[in-house]
Amino acid sequence: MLSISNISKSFGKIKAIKNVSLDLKPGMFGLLGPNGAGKSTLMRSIATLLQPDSGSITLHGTDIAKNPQVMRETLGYLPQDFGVYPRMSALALLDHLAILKGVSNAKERRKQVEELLRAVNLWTMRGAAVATYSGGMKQRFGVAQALLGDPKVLIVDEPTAGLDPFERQRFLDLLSEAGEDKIIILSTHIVDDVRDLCPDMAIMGEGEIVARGAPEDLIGKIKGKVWRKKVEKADVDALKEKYKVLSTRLLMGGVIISVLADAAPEAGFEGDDPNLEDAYFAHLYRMV
Amino acid sequence: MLGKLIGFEIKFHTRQVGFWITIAIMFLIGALVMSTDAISISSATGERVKANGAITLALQTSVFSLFSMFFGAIFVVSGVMRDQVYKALEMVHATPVTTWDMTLSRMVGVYVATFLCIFGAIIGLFAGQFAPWIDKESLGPINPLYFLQPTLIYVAVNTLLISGIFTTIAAVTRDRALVYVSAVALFILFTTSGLFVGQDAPDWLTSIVDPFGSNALALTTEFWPAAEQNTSMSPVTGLIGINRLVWGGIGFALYLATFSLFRRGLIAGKTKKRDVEVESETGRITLESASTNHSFASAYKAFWTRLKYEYLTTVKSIPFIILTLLAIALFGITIYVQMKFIPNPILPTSLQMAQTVIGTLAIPLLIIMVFFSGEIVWRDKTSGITEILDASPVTNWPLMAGKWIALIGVVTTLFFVGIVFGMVVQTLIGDIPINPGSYLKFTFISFAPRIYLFCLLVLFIQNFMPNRVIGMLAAGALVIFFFFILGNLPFAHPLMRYGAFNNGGLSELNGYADLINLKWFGIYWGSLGALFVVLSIWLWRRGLQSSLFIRLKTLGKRLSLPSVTIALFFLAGFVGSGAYIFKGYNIDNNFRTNKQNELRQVKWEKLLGDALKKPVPKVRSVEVDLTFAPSKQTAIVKGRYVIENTTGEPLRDIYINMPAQHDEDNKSLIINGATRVTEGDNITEIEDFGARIYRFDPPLQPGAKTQMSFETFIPAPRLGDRSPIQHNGTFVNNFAVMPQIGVQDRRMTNPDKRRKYDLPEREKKADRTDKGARQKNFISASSDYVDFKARICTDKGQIPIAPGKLIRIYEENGKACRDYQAINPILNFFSFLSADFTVKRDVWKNPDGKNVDLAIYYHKSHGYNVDLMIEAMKNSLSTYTTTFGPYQYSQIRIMEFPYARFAQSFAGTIPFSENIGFVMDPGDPKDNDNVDLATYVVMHEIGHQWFAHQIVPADTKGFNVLSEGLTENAAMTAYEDALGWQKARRVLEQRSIQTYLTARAGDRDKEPPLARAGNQQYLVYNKASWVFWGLKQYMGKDKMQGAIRGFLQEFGSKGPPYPTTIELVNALRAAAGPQWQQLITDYWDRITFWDLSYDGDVTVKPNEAGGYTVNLTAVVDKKIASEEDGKETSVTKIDGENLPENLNEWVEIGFYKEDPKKTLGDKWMKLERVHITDPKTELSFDLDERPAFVLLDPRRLLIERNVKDNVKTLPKDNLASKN
Repeated sequence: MLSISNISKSFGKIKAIKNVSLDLKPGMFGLLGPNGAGKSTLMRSIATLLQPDSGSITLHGTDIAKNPQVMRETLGYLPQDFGVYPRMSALALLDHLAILKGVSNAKERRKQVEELLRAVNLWTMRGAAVATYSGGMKQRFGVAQALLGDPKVLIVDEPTAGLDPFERQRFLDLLSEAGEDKIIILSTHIVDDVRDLCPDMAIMGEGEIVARGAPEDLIGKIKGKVWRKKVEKADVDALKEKYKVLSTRLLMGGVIISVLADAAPEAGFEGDDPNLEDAYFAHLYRMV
Repeated sequence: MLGKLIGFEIKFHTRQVGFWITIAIMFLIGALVMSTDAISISSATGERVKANGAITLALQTSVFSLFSMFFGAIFVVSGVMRDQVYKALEMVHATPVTTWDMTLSRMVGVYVATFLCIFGAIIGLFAGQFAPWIDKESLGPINPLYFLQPTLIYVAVNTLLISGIFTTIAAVTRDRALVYVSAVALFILFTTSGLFVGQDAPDWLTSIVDPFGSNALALTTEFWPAAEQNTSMSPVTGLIGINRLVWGGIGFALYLATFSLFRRGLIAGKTKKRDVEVESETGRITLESASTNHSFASAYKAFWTRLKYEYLTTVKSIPFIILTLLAIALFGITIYVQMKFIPNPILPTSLQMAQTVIGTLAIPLLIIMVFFSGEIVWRDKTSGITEILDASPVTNWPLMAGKWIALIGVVTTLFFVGIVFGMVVQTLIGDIPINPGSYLKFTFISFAPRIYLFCLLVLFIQNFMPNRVIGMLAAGALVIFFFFILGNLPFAHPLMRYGAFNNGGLSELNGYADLINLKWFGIYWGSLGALFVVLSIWLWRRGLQSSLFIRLKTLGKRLSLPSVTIALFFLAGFVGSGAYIFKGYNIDNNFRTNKQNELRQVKWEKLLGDALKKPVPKVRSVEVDLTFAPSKQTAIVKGRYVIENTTGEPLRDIYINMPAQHDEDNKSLIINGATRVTEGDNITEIEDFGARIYRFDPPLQPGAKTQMSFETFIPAPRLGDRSPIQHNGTFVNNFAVMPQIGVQDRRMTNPDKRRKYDLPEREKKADRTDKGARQKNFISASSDYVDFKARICTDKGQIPIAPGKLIRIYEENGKACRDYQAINPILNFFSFLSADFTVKRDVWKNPDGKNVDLAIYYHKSHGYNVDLMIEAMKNSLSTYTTTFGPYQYSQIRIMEFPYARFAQSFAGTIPFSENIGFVMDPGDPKDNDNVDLATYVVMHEIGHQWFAHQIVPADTKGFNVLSEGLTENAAMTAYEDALGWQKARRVLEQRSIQTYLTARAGDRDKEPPLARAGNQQYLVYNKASWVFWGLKQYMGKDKMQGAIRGFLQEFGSKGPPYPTTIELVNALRAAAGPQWQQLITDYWDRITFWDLSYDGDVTVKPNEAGGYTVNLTAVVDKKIASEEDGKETSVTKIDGENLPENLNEWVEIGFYKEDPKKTLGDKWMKLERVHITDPKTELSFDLDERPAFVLLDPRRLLIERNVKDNVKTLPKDNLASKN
């Protein structure tokens, strides 16, 4: 079990995470939040790349700030942004990283590298330098390297940003196959990533966890409270003043506005089944 | 728009903090160069050559302009290539700015930024003039033009060239690394071009191969005396002009090329076509996890993987390959220049080749080390993979060790590349068998350890650097500091010379002399290097917040018991060995820093300066009993002098100079009738200088004799105290191992330093008319010729050698012993040698029947030139006995000794170092471009048997002209007899003319006329040789040598009064006749320079006699240079003398069919000697055949600085000629 308790981290005057606590069990965990919410700082702290200013992170009871090796030995980490050595092929680089991860047995290593390359559909491109890959390919390579060895904790930081829908789907499939015995933390600002995959999630905003639970529970909290209406563009600002607006969406010349309210705010608003996006905004804006 | 863009570019560079730091540093360097001696980048400046003189400033500015290579590279990367670096290319290139404006503004930005950085140094130079600590005497009048003119010629043009080259490379390749590599390549090209300087390569070649113009400047001003260096700015025409035009033009052309080569937008490089991505059929693959383990074994495997990766990536990288190829090219060019342009090349033995190849590798190697220390340490950061790596379970040590050992491996690779190329070239150019031991020893003991330690240092400092570029710059700064600056600092101590083992040179006779230093400095620096390793493990960057501050703050967490133990162990090793070395150097021995040595010289002069003038008794006979123990590197020297009071007055106190540094090694010293003075004024200080006072009570009466006996122990090398005794190849002289009567002159000689310490101008040697001085000879005030007897023993297997006739060979107490005795009295100047020698013997058959035994004692593998040297010995004896008179001893022996680069002539006994003669390539005897130094040096040293051992100069001004000068004349004569006029002419050109003209320009002291020369080598060897050469051809060889023979008969082999140059010049004057009296004055009694050239064209036309008439106007001037600063005044402008007497010159004119350059003026079809009394003289000559060249003073009899205008190529046929 991965237990994060009361950690805070500042960079100068900016408080990136404030007093965050989370307990994570094996399974997919989605960390949803807008850019700048502190997700990456949290991910990097768990990945032992940053030391929290206060609080502790323990893995199976061991404090990883004091003993980062415990985490590193069981970690698979896909950073939000990473580079690779120039002129090094996917095969060679995976092999290289596998050795660093402690996969010492040459036979096993070869087998796993091949398996991973096939799984991320890079086998045919295994000889090409990773540096020449397209964004999606590079991201898939990132997953492959994260899965090297036998990681029990898998951290993927905004993995789907910049991927086309097809690539994104492949990626999420891959992640879901990675195994149920692992603690998988998927940090993202895309609601759909979480909706489809994660039985457990948290919403993070301005450095704090604002909500935690299964997606359906979070949705459940606003059930029957979401109202939508198609309005003129010019009216949006006035409505925003008046109501708790969850989101606005352009639709064929008009704007669909979603509002959180116990009853229909005014004429023309129709009740709708809330989705995860509504729940996300509702929690993020602390409307519930 | 363009103006705004340029403004933006300049602001872009100038708003960086680094830019201003750079300017500040450059300013500081400039100011220090001007105002101190700590950094010197031109010839030594002082009272004579002023620190702010025009040429000094030009040389310094041209050196500063070299920095443009590095600044230019950095600014091009940040200016021209920043779109790539900051990934803004697509955005910026899509703006409506025209390509022209974009490119031009950026290039201007780079140019201005680079120029300003270097200009910082120029401002620093200027400001340095006002530094309060500057030696005011080193300044001439302040003239801003002296600063601005070279700034335009060098900084402005070189910056154009450099930024042109870099922007072109940037535009074409868009590869940062290649820009940096080309900076290094340029630097190596510059280094290479320096190889040509001082060699016999044509001027235009030497000048044009240097893109920065320094060679052209050096060539143009090489013979300029101080006065001209101070006040004449370098010309901008001639070699300099051509060089600047060519390279400036290339720079400009490259700028233009950049406009056409600059491609906007993305470059569609060649990329492999991607295979079509195939969706895997199953879609679902079960991933089996692989087992991991985190034992030491897996860490070790990780280490190997990292090492392999780091190493291979580096050696396969383009920068490494290019730099290595450049290093090899540099080596190739060095060898080529040595073979082609150095007239006296060394033999390609394994040791010599190893020294050459590793020596040429040194600078590329240091650059590679500095560059890749940054590249390797920062590689992960640069490529952006740190987050993945640092979150992986691999521990720090495999990551770090992989990088550190990779750098060491890279450097080692280069060593092996060097060794292999050295061996290949050795087999290609010679047939001396390869001795791998010499290569390996020199590379891995003499050279590599220091480089390895520097690898550790430059890697270590990366821990403290914020990024790669600053890391590389800091590494470079450290290398420059330790290799080039530290040694000049007043407080320098061997304990500060990072990585230096002080084990001395490597000799094929003796290996290393100073193994004790190797051992202790090895422990000392090795421990420090190991500490760097441990500290770096603690300071290793891991994770994202890895600033130095945070790493230091959390250092405590990284300590572990084993690592702390190891660190303490090495700390103890470092401190302990350091303390031990310090004790050895500073407490047990008297190590002194430069500054302390200077202060001590000042103290000595105040304490004992007057004692130099005290009358001393003379040694009449010497007996020595010397026992070497080469295996222990010790010796015991016992001896006995008979001393006579020749002062004419009763003698009470005499000074004795003790040989051993440690007084306990001066085992005993007994002077009959005298006792050591142990109380009195300053006696402790006096004895601290190795001097003792002995008092005769009653005083030693005039004419009375007494006896002095002594025993000295020569200890094995200790820390801070080298031993002259070697395992194989000892050479010591009596001044080093035996007490001497009188004090040893330790006065400071550098006139600028003397002024700094408020010492009066140093008293020169006595005037030649000083009767008292003529009682003393130049070797020793306390002896004339002495009777000499020696018993010398050494370990079995070695041969002990002393001067004198060999009397007996025997063994005693398990030692090999020999007795020597001089058959006639010799100078009080003896050599003692011992080594495992091979001996070559011969006999010179003297026509008068008194045959001379010849022997060469040499190291068994150094027999290359032994036959040649025997031949040279015989030739010398033949020439000298017929020219000057009989040889005085019954033998001549030459003995090889290690390390040094000189030979020295003792009575009938000549120690000769391994590097001079024994391993030199004598070359083809028929090739007149070649100087056979092996032969020449033998002839020179044997010449001393006449001039030094028969003619013994008095201790007055001009003394060494009688020793070295007459010996040079003798050697030139013997060399010409043996090898011909052209070969001798080549020696004159190479050894005498070039050296005299160049060395006088850099002398800190005044230049006296030859007859009153101090001990300046350029006078007593080089000018003397030239003067004798000229004189013998003017007055006639037989007359001149006859005069010297007469001089020798009159003064040779006698005691005092000793002769001076007055007697020599008088003898020459008497023999020369009235025609040459003024010439002798010009040669000997003043500093004269002739200047010959033509006015207008030289015409040739057929004459009535069927031959040809040549008409020309000769322009002849004669200038007298001042002793003070070399300022020249034409004799036609000296007031109060009338013209005909002033100009009264005999000038030779040679006519040639072939270019006389190849024969150095030999092989003329006609040689005319004309009398010149007017500055311009129309001359007409009739010749039988048509000449193609005419040459003024073809044999270089006159002392002339510029002879380029002495030659005219004549038109080939009638039509082309005028009239």
